Amino acid sequence: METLRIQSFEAIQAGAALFSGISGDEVDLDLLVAYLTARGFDGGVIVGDQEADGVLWFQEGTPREVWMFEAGDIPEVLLNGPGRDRLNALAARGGQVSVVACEPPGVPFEFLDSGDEPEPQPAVAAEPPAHPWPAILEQVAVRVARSRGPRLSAQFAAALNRALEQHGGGMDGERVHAPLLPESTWRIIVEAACAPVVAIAGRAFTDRTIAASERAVADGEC
Amino acid sequence: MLTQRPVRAKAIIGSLAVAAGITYGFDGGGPQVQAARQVISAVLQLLAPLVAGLGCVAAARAYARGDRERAVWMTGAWATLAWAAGRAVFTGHQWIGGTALPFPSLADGFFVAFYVLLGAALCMEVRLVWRVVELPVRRNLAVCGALVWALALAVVLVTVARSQATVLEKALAAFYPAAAVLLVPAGLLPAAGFRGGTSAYPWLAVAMAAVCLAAASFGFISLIQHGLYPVVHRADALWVAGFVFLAVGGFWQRAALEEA
Repeated sequence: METLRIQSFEAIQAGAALFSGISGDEVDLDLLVAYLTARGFDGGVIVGDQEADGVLWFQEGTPREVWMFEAGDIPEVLLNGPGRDRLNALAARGGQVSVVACEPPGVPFEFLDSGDEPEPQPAVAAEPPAHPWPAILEQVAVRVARSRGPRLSAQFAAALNRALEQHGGGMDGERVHAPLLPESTWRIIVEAACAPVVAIAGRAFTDRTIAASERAVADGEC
Repeated sequence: MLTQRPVRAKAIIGSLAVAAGITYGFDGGGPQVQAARQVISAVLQLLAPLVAGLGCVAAARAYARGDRERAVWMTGAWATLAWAAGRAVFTGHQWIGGTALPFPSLADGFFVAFYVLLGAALCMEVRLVWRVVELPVRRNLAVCGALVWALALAVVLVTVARSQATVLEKALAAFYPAAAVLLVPAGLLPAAGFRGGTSAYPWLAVAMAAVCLAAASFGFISLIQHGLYPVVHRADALWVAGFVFLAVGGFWQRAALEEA
């Protein structure tokens, strides 16, 4: 059984992450759990550093149990409550947070808390995006093309596509489409998409372009 | 402030161009007119690189610290400052030292520094935009640049080889136009990379500056090789034009960055 747990953990670690490698001290784990719960998420939230790894399994949006891998190979299986405290501690000391969507391990496992009563939901269901990022990024592409030509704009679009791909979004022509994502995830996407522009035109130009695009979207110019 | 700055830049550059047109646009006149032209020419050739330096600084200030293009424009500003220092030394030798043609002199150290620094700035920019420019464009620019450079070098070498000049004079005479010609494709490459966008135009202006400086270098070398160097010559307008184009490039880049 433990070997199967280890194999399940290795499988989820190797899976395509919705996002990965975010420093735990930048992530509000409770808010993330609340968001995934609201989305009916299936999969795992992995937190790990050099000393320990842990995964919180979700089944249809319900956080079930936590597996902690510390000294030795035998995982410690904990209920969501105490397990979450351990993950929070791991995240607080700078562990890297990743979210992987997959089928949660069912048979032969039975979650410790396989009960029918869902955990009470916090008041804030999710961290909503603070900006209309798809529209802003469409404007950024237009403005980069206007200032630096279509070739750098194409590099921006390619980087944006790569960043959005792992979240199920992308750029179709001039339109950016993406699922509902939290603000912190958008920040990472924007940073990755703008990397080719920052490399050539610089940080000041990029920040000005994003700010101008945001204003244009807010003013309904596009 | 934002609306006044481009107007001021246009006024400064326009005044410089008009003064150069009047100074170099006609010959004739009595000794007093000739003397006045000498003074104005010397002042213009000192002012032009300083204005170009202002343009480069204006462009650099539109970037954040750590932005790579900021370093490109700041290096350009240092280059123009080196040229201005060289011109001051050159004119000092003429007016105070009484040497009609101070070549070679300490001023050449500054002039060489100008080409090295401007070349370094353009190399940095070329490195930045390399991946943005398509391979055929890069290849065509490299081939054309190499051909023109080889042709220019051949013409200069033929010109200086026949002269009685020292090795240092010949080396400098070959270096100036050859270096300036190399800067033309280096300026055109970013223009090609950004074509379709407003940032292409400042780099076209930089490439035009290199063309003018190359032509001015050829003119200067031809005149001194044939013993025809006067204190004021129409070819000097090309030096001023070169720095005016460099100033246009800097101020235009600033405007393009602020338009974002």
